[in-house]
Amino acid sequence: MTAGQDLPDPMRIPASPFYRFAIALPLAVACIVGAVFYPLLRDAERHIRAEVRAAIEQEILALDARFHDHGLEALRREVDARIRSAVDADAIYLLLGGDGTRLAGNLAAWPEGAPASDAKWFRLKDAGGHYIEGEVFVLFGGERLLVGRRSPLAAFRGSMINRMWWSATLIILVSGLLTWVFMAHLHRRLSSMAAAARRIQEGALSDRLHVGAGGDELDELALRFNQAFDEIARRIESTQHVSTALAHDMRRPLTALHNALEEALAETPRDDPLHQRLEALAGQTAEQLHTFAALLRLARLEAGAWQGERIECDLAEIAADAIELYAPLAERHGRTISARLSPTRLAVDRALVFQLLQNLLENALHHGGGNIEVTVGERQAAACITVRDHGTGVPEAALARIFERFYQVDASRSGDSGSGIGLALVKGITQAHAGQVRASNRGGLEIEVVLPLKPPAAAAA
Amino acid sequence: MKILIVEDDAEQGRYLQKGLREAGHITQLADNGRDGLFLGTTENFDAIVLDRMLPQVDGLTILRTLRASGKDLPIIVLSALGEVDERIEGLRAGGDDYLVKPFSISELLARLDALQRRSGGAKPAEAALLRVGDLEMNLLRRTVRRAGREIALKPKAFALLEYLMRHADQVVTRSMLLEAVWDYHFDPQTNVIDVHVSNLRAAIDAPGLPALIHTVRGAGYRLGLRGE
Repeated sequence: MTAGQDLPDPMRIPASPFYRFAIALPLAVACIVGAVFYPLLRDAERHIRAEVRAAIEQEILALDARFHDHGLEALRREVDARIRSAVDADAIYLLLGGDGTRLAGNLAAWPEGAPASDAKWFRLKDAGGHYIEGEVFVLFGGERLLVGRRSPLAAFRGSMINRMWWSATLIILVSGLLTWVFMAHLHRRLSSMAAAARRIQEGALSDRLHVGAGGDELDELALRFNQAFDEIARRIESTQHVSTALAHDMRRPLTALHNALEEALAETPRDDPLHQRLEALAGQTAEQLHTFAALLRLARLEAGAWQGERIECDLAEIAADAIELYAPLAERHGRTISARLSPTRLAVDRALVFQLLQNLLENALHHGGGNIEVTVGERQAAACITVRDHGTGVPEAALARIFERFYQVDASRSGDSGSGIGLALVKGITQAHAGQVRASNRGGLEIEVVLPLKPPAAAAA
Repeated sequence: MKILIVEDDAEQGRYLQKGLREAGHITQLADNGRDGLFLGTTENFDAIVLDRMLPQVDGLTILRTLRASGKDLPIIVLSALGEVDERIEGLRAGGDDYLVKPFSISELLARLDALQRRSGGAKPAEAALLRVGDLEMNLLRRTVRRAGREIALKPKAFALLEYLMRHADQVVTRSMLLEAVWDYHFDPQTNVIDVHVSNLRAAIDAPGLPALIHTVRGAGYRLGLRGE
């Protein structure tokens, strides 16, 4: 079985802890990484800026020295030489005369936003979108010298941010993948536990959760659950044993009581009011004894002690007999029993199969509603008997439980006709034939009995 | 009828004796298997009511021994086990009928009566025609007439009527009908048989005609001319 069938796919439910974890963990990792690296980035930026400024300052000092020693013309030539030599492609120079005419430099005009006063640092963005970091120096003649650098900061920051995005993506992907692998593993194991629990709930009481060899927490959990299931199974068994023993022990005194009532009934004149009451009492004790007999029969079936004869019969014929027996009763209730029977030959205990059909029909008549449909046929190497009514069906939660002895779908209807073990006997008879019984709601209750065409032993031979 | 009861349970034995005596039978009680076997082989009875589980000698052993010694009187086997497989075993060992406890005395009486008539020469002739009053059944042509008017019956209803007619004036219980007509052995707990009989009654006892099918309270049915 696949995991998806037993627990809902965690990725489909936003509220699932799996889903939350799978999203929260990579985000948290990315945030931590961001929180650590962002200050580093800022520090690096500060250092770079300081270095740029130091270089600019040095250059201005050198240019100032040249102006001081050799005059304006020498400064102009020096600036031109520096631009031509292109030692630093990012270097920016502009020398303006006192009247604002451009004497030298690789800038066309005084950049907008740059200060006109002396020894002023500025930072601005040029037309090309580059940041320019620079200092303005006013010479004694009123000339202004601007020395700057196209800042490497933008490029640095761009590449850093780029890298950070990449690493964030990588972190999210890798941790997401790891989380997913881990969660899938966890989910698979939880699913297998859920599946086993469901099989047990559906009546496979001897089924147990898989306990791995690893002995981890989940194995420990499964082990504990298995111990709990063992205990429950033991208690169910002892309850069943008690009810069987009770039925067995109560038969004698109850038979004596029944006989005494019958005797008293025979001695009481018909017109005596006591007669009716005795008759009712005798009827009730007889019914009680029937229930006990059915319980004992069920116990024998469940214990595998059934010694009945298996004779090859046509299930369709047995079904036809049962339908024929019950059709007039159904008609009395204004209902019909329709049948779709195809010959299905199988070695069965004929009387038991008849009882099975009888109990299914009784159940449909007394607890179901509407018309009743019976089918008998072969399907996938198995004989299939279905009995379906058109009543209100049974609540989904009760479907698996209706085969339990004395189980009442609607507790308020206790005291209804039937001993409460009709369907338990159906299950017992089915299992005595190595078959399986299922109940489902299909516009009414449908009970399906599937009997293997060959008993397992014969099939293996 | 002179009937031997082999039953180890004192209370059950007393109940059987009382019930059978009140119905006009002569009874003798053996409370263990050895006495039962001794009485059964040495004395002449018209029928034996035999419990299956007995101390010393088991009921089925008694049954086989009696049959082996040529006793062919009707024997009804009683069982508290009440399982279909037990029934088959009991019948195979030579029992004529099998009753599961608890049963009502009327059920036992009806079955004894049926067995007695079968073995006592009062066997209905293997004729093609059954007749009770103005009711006629032709077994060859599978037809039924009442007062000269033909009545159409479905096969199961026909079989039901045939059984009732073959046991005319006897009490026939619901489980006897089930066994005879449906060939399944179990106690009908619901009124499922009653519906069949009442449908049959509606077909046979037309308004204006005297009723032939009578309900015997607490026991079953009887087909006959006279009422209860």
